[in-house]
Amino acid sequence: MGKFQLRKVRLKFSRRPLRHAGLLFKSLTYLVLGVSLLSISRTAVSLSDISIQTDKLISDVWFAEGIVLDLNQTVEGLSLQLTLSEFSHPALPGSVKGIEFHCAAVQRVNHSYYCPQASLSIDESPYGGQQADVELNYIDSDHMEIKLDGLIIAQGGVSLDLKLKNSSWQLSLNGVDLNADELRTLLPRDIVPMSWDLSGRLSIEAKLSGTTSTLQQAEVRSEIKQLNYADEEGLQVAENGSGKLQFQAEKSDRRWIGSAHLMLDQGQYYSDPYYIDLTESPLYLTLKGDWETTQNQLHLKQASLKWLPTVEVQGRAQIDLTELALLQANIEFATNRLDQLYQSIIQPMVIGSMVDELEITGGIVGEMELVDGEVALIRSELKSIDVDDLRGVFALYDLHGLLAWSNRENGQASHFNVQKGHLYQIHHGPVSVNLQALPNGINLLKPLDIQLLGGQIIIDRLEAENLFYGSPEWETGAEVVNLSLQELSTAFDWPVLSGELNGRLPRMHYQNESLDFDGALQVDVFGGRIEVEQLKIKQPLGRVPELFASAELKGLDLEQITRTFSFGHIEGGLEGKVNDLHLLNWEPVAFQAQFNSPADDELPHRISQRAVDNLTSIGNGVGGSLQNTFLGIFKEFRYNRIELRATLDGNLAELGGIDHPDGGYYLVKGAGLPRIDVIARNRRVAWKTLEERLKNIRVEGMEVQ
Amino acid sequence: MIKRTVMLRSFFGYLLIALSLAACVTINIYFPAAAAEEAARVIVRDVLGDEANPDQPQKSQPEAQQEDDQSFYQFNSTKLTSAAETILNFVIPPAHAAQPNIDISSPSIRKLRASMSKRQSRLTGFYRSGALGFTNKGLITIRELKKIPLKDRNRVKKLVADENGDRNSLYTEIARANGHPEWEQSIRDIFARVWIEEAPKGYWYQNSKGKWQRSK
Repeated sequence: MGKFQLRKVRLKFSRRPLRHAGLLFKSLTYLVLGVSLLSISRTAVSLSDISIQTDKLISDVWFAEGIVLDLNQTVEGLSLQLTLSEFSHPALPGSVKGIEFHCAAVQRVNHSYYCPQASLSIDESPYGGQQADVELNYIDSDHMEIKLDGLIIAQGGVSLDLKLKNSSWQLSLNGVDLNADELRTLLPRDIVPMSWDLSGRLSIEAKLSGTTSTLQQAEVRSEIKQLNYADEEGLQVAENGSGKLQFQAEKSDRRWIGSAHLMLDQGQYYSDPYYIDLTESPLYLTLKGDWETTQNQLHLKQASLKWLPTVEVQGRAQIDLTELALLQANIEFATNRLDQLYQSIIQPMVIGSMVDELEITGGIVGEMELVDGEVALIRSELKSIDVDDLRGVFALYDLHGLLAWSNRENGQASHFNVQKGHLYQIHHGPVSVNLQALPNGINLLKPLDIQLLGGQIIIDRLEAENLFYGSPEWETGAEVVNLSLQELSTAFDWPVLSGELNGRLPRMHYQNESLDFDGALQVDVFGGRIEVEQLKIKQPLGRVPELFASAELKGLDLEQITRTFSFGHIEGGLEGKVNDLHLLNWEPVAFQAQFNSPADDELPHRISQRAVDNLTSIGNGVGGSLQNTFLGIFKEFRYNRIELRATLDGNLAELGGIDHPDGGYYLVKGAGLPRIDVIARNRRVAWKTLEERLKNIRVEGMEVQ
Repeated sequence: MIKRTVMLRSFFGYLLIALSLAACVTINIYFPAAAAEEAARVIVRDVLGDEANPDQPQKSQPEAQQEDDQSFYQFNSTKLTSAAETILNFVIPPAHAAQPNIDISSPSIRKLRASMSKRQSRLTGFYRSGALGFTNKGLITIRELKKIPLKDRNRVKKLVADENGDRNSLYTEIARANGHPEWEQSIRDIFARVWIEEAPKGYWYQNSKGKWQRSK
């Protein structure tokens, strides 16, 4: 038995660079078979055993060393054993060491060589040590087939089937139950960063084909279970996810054309600030398009997202993969579950604003255009939408209409109708809105007629700016017509008032969270009129709203007032002023007020015993003293003048009336007989105390709030 | 001799009084730090409820008062003797009569306190887990998002936004209710310290350098 030993043989293959795993196997196969068949061809005639050894084989791209090839002629046929101490290739994440390939019987059929049961053993590789069954069919130098089974990669079983013919190749790869964390180490680093926590079990079926060094077609089906991942800061997280991904792609010229289908059917996903729970309803994403390799741009010609039976989004997009930038997109959306859309998408974006605590139901159908990552156009039909602010500030019910906006064109007309709603406790009826959406604001196209409190508010114009970016500012004019004070007082749970509220507010201007009013509101009440001027509200929807105003009272009838408030009967006129009123969180913190009988009052001046008692209790906190005197037998008294002055500054109220020579002041200056004067001595009283005194006036089952 | 001594003492006494009165005494009203701290501690303990750090000693009233006096008044005449100070204080009693105080009873402050107290029980677990912490600016923040279950994250973000909205408004309102809107920053600084001092054991807070520490 002869024996060849070739030592320190240095062969150099010149090949174009290989970029794909399929061609790596081809290289290896060529290496094995080329060397062996070369040997066989030289020795088959005269030698039964051949052993070839060489230190290194180097091509332009791959490298092998410690190569030993043994060929032995046995009864079954020719046995082949190849060992390589090390092999490396750029397609591999590291070198492969301790390779042993053994084929017990190479069968020769016609001009082909076939090894049905070979084995491959690898001591060390980026995929760990390997033991695999190999089926090898060498048909000719341009046509061969290799099957490997039993590979263990990332703790999962992997098999592959490679067919090489002329310059084309096909690779079928099956991986079962692969560990996602370990698999990540075998992938390019930027796919899943190593800093992320990752776990999951992945199964994959891939069919790849190409020519020479180029991948031409790919078809991949994969399924992942128990998927968990989290980045370092917890901004991208999945818990107990599972799903399936299929994609197929084909190369055409300088672009790839393909489609992908993703189905996520379990788990919770968080991509800051968005969160979805797929436990009850899967999410389906379908993408079709092409990838321009020279510009590295992805053109999604058809994208479709379905989540729940009722959320559907379709669209087209152009994405720059180099910059990861959305260049352009057209999206069509439809849902009749706005509650889900609000909770998952809208609410996370508006946390900290006035609309972060809404309950929304209803549906929308519309389209949206994005350019350079920014919304350029929206058109949406609003279908039976109910909006309830859970803080109780506002609500809109049965909202229908069309909302249109563009950042390029002025004059997108929008219109919508609201069946009813409320602002705080004030309920309103149907409202029809026609407006023109500007790139950063809106204009009212028709006056707005809001039916409320038995009357109406007509908003004749509305110009809003900086609504979408910048500091919002708007200006409007309004006319208040015949609002019922009875309904207003009932809405706020005040004592029931009668009369009407009217007024013309030619200019209301909102800027820097402050709403300023020009003009005046006239409240026709108690037989007279209250004019409210210099009205200003800061942070009207904020945590601590502030209101500033001044008011003048003319010709009020005390009989009507005292009847309304059941304060005790008083007849006579009343006029007064409230200057520099300042309410903080709707409670007074400052004002200068004076109420008095008009100088030329023609009404009779009478005051009941109970009213005297109540006035006395306001003045000194003690009431009911009149009943204990002989005056208790009189139910009513005549008076000359009533006057009350009150100045509030923070916690302290300073009271006054008609000055009395001995230092006190009259609240009621009596007249006739029996005469009664109500004279107060204390000029300063804590506002809290005064409030308490007012609250303690209980008359006819009513408590003053 | 005794009479001369008495005369001398009287002379120097009058001289001191004359000097004191002629020294152009300027009373600068400064931020009443001790009163503000007391007010802050009342509010913080009220909001934290039973959670408030029981080990944190509250300053005694005299101590607080002393500190308060020092910060509240400043005399630009230098090196007045203690005797002269006594005389001066006698001469100008209204200065001491107007004890510095911080009012925290306005309706808006009461509303904000009630809102924060009501929210506290929903935040406690997240403070304890370290998901949330007290900042050195008197606010709260999410310090470890990963410690918040996914489904709760937006709810907690909203709680944080609401709490910070209330806290910002509280500092503004305390300054405004006391007639000094310009005190807002000083009040915020005091609250920032008091929140941390009163933080229950296990709560996380930012020290002055922004580093996170755990309350012991």
